[in-house]
Amino acid sequence: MPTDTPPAGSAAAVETAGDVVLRAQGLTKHFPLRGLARGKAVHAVDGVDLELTRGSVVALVGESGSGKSTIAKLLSLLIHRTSGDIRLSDKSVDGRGRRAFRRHSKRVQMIFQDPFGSLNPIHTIRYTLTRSVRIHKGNLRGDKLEAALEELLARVQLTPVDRYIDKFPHELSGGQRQRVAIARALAADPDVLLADEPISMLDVSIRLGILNLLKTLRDDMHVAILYITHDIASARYFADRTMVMYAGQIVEQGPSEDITQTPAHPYTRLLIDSAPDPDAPARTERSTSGEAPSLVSPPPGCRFAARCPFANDLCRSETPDLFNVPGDDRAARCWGYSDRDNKPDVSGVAKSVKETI
Amino acid sequence: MTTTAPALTNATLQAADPILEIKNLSVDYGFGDDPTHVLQDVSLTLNRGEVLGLAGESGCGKSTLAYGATRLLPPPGVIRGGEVIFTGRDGVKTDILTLNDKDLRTARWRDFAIVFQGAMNSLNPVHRVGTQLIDAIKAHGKTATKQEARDRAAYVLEMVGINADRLKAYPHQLSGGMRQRVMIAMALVLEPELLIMDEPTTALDVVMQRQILEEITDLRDRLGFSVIFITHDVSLLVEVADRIAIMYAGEIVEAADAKDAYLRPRHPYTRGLLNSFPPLRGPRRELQGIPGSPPDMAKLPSGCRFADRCPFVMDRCRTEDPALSRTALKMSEPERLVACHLHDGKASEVPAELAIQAPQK
Ligand SMILES: Nc1ncnc2c1ncn2[C@@H]1O[C@H](COP(=O)(O)OP(=O)(O)OP(=O)(O)O)[C@@H](O)[C@H]1O
Ligand SMILES: Nc1ncnc2c1ncn2[C@@H]1O[C@H](COP(=O)(O)OP(=O)(O)O)[C@@H](O)[C@H]1O
Ligand code: SF4
Ligand code: SF4
Ligand SMILES: [Mg+2]
Ligand SMILES: [Mg+2]
Repeated sequence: MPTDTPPAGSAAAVETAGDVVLRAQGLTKHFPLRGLARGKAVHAVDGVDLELTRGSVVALVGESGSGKSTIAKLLSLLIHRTSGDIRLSDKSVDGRGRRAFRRHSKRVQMIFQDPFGSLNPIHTIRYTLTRSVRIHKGNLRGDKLEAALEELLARVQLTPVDRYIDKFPHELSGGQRQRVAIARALAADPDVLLADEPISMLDVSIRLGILNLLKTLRDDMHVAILYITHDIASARYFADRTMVMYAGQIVEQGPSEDITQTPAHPYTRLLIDSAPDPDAPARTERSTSGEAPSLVSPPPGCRFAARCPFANDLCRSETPDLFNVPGDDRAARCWGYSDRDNKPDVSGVAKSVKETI
Repeated sequence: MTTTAPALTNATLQAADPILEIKNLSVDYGFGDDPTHVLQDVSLTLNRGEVLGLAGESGCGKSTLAYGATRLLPPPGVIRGGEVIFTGRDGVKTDILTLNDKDLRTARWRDFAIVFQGAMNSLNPVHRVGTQLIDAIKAHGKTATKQEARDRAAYVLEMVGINADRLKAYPHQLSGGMRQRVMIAMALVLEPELLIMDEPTTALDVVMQRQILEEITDLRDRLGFSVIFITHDVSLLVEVADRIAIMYAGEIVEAADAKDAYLRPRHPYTRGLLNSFPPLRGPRRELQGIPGSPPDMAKLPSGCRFADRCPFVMDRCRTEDPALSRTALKMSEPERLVACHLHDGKASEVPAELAIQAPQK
């Protein structure tokens, strides 16, 4: 699989780094509830706009239950959206029906958190990869198949190839298994990789290896990558842009470096202040406590209001949009950045961050 | 190593007030002719009121050390030798390894409690949280009446920041972070003197992680217990622990004050671990982590176990096993122990990044 000549017919042939491959607009998922709560729904994802461009990484960061995995499943058509649009190379995709799903998953591949669960334990690496190569490339055999397998393993740096190819998943380390899972995804020559917490179950010393590998795929193959994580430091390390999610909505987006160094949204601020920081002076006050609001009937107003130190009456009554934030292509879902007369004063977000830097 | 004194153990350095002294603990996995020696002569001391962090890659023996010292090793784990001296608040010393089963069971709940790795999934899904807490209290005979047990359960739940009305909740109705806090409440319910936590926050997001850590630190300050905190996230340990012990391939390779270990690592492995975490602040740079992976515990190399991955490896490292001892810088840092030939005073030169000096006070 030479990286410079994408398969004929693939939209990749006409797209170069910087082009939008996958775009979601107003993406929404409500999971209907059963039993006593019948008629109600979990608002897992509400009105998310997102763009993945070739050769670049977007990180999706947020606490547990904020809707990150649901977005990845929606984008890969593993579940159906309640409303909104998903466009692949500017064509709307629906994904109902096997053929449409196959066509989509050839170009949009997913990598899961758990490298233990995502590979079938009864099959060798050779079997798993062969299957994937044949699904996406036709019925290769003999030398051609062998060459394809070798190239896949080389691409994820599992060399010498014969040390790994006839092994079973349990004979590999977590990091090696995750590399095999990535190789399997690459067999499709995808334009988009959706990586859902690809390193959070791996050992510290191999996490960087996987991130550096994904970086190489971005730079050499111009893959568009959605990197889902709750570790905002790794988003800074690896992602060009970062989107912060809270309770089903994007609350802040912009270049990763800006977001981590000068967060604009009070929730991003909390996230950054919560990250372990050995250099910080001993903390004296307790950080904000509290939990995300129920997603079953989200309260009116800003979803972060109950935990936000800057919340005022406006915040508790009307839901904020994403407003532009000074800087390069940044936005925050916070009334503080609107031009309302009765907006909250959020200058404290920036100020206290500067003090800690 | 000094020429006059034998290899110093952590125990001899910490004259303070030890609550748990692990001495030369050896643990095997497997009963057959060819067991794997996972721990060999590991020594470590925990002082009263201290939070001791235990860090290292997975498989290096952190859990084995903690469970071995408390005799909670699941089969085929076997303790092959050593002593674990527990000193109660009353000053009475007991060797946990020689207690009979009955005394051990009492000690386990009265004196020490453990939050196991992945504990949040070990709540029974069909029983309410409150019932499980009350059962734990009753099973250990601390409280006489039902009402007392219920009050106590409500009290510990609120102690970990969960409203007592959640006593009625089933585990699936709580978020992951809340389930994890329930497990911590379960461990605290009997006011142990020693709390062992095995990766208690690894699966949680940072906000929840911090909430839990702050709760544990608060409780420690209020109730005065000691903590062994196991994680592979060293940057987290630097914040929560007073002292850190770094493990590699079944051995402790460095033990030091938490800030010292972070700012001035001495062992190449400690430094590698610290460099495996992308920083949130400061300059952004390419990181490489630690190349390679830990050795197979069943086929350990001779000499230093880290030699295959060590950027500073010398000939001597392949044959001589470095002992955990004070460094050549011992005058300025008597509290620190390192197992590396670079620091025994015989190496011609210590690489600058492993020889950073503390500022003069
Ligand atoms: N099949 C489902 N039925 C009902 N609710 C669901 C379903 N899947 C997810 N949810 C809910 O949707 C919300 C978002 O879940 P999601 O898995 O996307 O979170 P996440 O951000 O990936 O969290 P984590 O960091 O824990 O992986 C949660 O409140 C979750 O309980
Ligand atoms: N039940 C077991 N049987 C055999 N070997 C085991 C068992 N549990 C752990 N080990 C081995 O013991 C070593 C240390 O494991 P463990 O203490 O769990 O490490 P850590 O907690 O640091 O990840 C590893 O090499 C591991 O493979
Ligand atoms: S809109 Fe109001 S409550 Fe929401 S984040 Fe901004 S200041 Fe806080
Ligand atoms: S003893 Fe040698 S191989 Fe081992 S850590 Fe020190 S320098 Fe490296
Ligand atoms: Mg998820
Ligand atoms: Mg463990």
